[in-house]
Amino acid sequence: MRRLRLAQYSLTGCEGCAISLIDAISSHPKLLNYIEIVSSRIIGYLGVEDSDVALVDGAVVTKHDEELARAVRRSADVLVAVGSCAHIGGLSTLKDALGSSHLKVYKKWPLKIEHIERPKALSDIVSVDYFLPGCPPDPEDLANLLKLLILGRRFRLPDKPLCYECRLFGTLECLLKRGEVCLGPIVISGCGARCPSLGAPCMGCRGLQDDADIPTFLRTARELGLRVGDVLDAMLPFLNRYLRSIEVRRKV
Amino acid sequence: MGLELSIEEVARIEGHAGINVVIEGNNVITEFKVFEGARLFEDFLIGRRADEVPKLASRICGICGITHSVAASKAIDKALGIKVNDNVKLVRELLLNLNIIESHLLHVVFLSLPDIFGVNSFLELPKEVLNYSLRIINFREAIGNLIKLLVGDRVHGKTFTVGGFTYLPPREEVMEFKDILSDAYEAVKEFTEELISKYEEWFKSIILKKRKHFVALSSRNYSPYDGVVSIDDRVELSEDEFTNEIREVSVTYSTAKRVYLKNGEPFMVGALARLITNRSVVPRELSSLLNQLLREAPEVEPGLIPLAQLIESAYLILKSLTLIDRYERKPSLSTAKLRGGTATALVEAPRGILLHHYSVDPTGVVRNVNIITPTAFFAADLEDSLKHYTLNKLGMGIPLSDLRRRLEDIVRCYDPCISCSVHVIRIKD
Repeated sequence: MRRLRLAQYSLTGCEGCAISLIDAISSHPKLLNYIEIVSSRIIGYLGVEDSDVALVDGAVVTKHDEELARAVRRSADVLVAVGSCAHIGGLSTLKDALGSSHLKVYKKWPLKIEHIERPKALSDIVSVDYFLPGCPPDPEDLANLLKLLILGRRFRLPDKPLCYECRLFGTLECLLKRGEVCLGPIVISGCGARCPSLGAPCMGCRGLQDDADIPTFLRTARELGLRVGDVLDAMLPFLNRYLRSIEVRRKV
Repeated sequence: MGLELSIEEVARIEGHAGINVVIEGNNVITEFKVFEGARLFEDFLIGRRADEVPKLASRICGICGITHSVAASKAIDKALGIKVNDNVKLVRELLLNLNIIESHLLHVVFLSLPDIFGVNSFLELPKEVLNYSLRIINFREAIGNLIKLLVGDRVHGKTFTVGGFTYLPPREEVMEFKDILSDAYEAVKEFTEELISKYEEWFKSIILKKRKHFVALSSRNYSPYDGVVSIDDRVELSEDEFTNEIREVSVTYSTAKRVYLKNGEPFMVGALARLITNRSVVPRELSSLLNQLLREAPEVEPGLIPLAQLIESAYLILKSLTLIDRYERKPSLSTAKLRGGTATALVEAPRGILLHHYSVDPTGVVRNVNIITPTAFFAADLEDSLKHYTLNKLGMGIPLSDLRRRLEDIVRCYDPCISCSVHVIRIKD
C-alpha cells in the first residue's frame, strides 16, 4: 500500500493543533507506517508540497495566510480544517466582534506585515473537505481521522448537540438550570461534553450544531432566568460568526 | 558592498519567523523577523468578564497555554483581592512544573535533537536514537495525561476559574501517576548524561563567550509560581518593581516587541537562567551535571539551553512527585464575587518569566491588559547572540552555508514561541 502523503500547515493561531498532530503520532507511532509527512514546519519540513491530505490549523489573518491557504488548496486532494480557528475563525475573529479595528491598531505601528481586513476561517477563503472541530481537537480524534483517511473512508461529524453527550457522560446537574451560561444545546457533540462534565460551561469551541436554533435557545435561556445579553456575550469568543447573521436577521 | 543573509522561515520552531543578517565590514545587523499575524489578545480580552480570562488567555499558546491560564488566574485573583487556599496554589505550581517538563521534552526531542544529528526532522533520527527518544516521548505523553486529569485538557485547560478550579480529580487518580513519574526521572536523567557525554562538542561549538544579563524568579524551593525577580542572580525585585526596570520597544520587522533592561541591554530568561539563579536548591546528582556544563561555559550560553532544559525537567519531575504527595481534593473558591482592582503577576513559563497585568472595573469587566511573554523578553538577546556568533565566525572564515545553519541552530536553542510573542500590541497610547 502506498503511504498517504500528509502535509500540515499552520496559519495564524496558537499552534496547539500542530502539537496535537505530534501528540497523535506519539501515542500512535504505527501511523507512521502508513503516512509520509511531506510538509510541516514544526516537524521540520518547510514549503508547500503536493499531498493526499493537508491538515490546516489557524485562522486567516495575514495576506501571507491567505496566499498559503490558496496554495495549499491547489496542492492537496483532501483539505481538512483542524481546530476552531480554521473551522470557525476561533478567537482571532473576536477582535471584530468587539468592534476594535485591526487597521486602527496598525496605523500606530508601522508594521511591514500585511494583514487582511477581517480575520476569517479557512472555508471563507477556500473549499474545505472535512472539519475537525475543537480548541484544540483531541489527539485521539485526529488519530481517528487519519486512520479513516488512510483506509479511504469518509469522516463524519456527530449530528447531535452537546447536551446529548452531557446526559450520557455528565455527572453533574445541568449547568444552565444552575444559572450558568452553557452553550451545550446549540453546539456539536463529539467531545464527550468534557467541559460541562467538569463543572465548566460549554464555550462552543466545536462550533454550531447543524440544526441548532439560536432564537429558541435564547428564549429557553431567558425562561431559565438568564439574561439574553449574557448568553450572546458568552457566544462571542467561538460562535460570533453565527451571531452576526442571527443578529441581523432576528434583531435579538 | 554589504552582504545579506536571509532565512525566510525557520523550521522546527513554534510559529512563523525568519532571520535577516546584514554584514557590512565589521558592522553586523541581525533581525529576528516574526511574521506571524498579530493576535491582539490584549485587545480582545478588554471587555470580557474577569472570570473568563484564564481560559481565554490559554489560547495565546498551544504549548504553554496551561501556564498562561495559571498566570492569568494569579493576576486576576490578586487584582480582585482573592486569597486562594493552599491546595489551589499547590495545583497551580504542579501545573506549571508539568507544563515546563512537557514543553522542554517536546523541544529537546522533536525540535532540537535533529540539529545535533544534522537531519531535517526527528523522523530522520538514527534508529537507536529514535527508539531512545520514543521512550522519553512516552513519558511526555504521561505528563500530558496528568495535566489532562488535573484540568480536563493538556493544551487548553477547561476548569480554570477565578479563585481556583471548577473541578479537581480524586487524590487516588493523581497518585496513580507517581510510578511513571519516578521512571521518567531516571530516564530523563540518563538521557541528559548521555547527551552531555556523547555530544558535548556540538553544544560547545556554538558557545559565544559573551557576558549576558539573565532574569528569573528566585525562591527557596524553585517554585515557578512564586518568588522574587532576580536580575543576574543579584538584584531582587517584587513583581511590581520589576515592571519599572524594563522597557518595551516595538520594531517594524516583527509583530513581536522587544524588551530591554532600563540600561538598554537585552537579557536572557528560561531554563538556564532559572537553574543558575536557583542552583543552591537543586540536588547534587543534578547540579553536578549543571556544574559540568558551567565548567565549559561559566556564563548563560544559549547553546546550553537544551541541556539546561533536560536537567530542569529531571529536577521538576522530582518536585512534582513531592507536590503530588501533598495534593488533596479540596473545593476551591470558584464562586468569588467579581469586583474591581489592578494587579501584575509573574510566573515562570517553560521559556522564562511571563507577565500578566489586568485592571478590572467594579462590575468585574476587564478594562486594561498587558501581557509580556518569555519570547518577547528574550527576542533582543536572541538577536544579540546571532550578531555575536556572526562576528566571531566571520573572522574565522566560516563558509556562509555553515553560518546559515548554525544561526538556525542558535534560534532553535532559544526555543522561541512565536504565537506567544505576537499578541503584544498595545492599543492604548
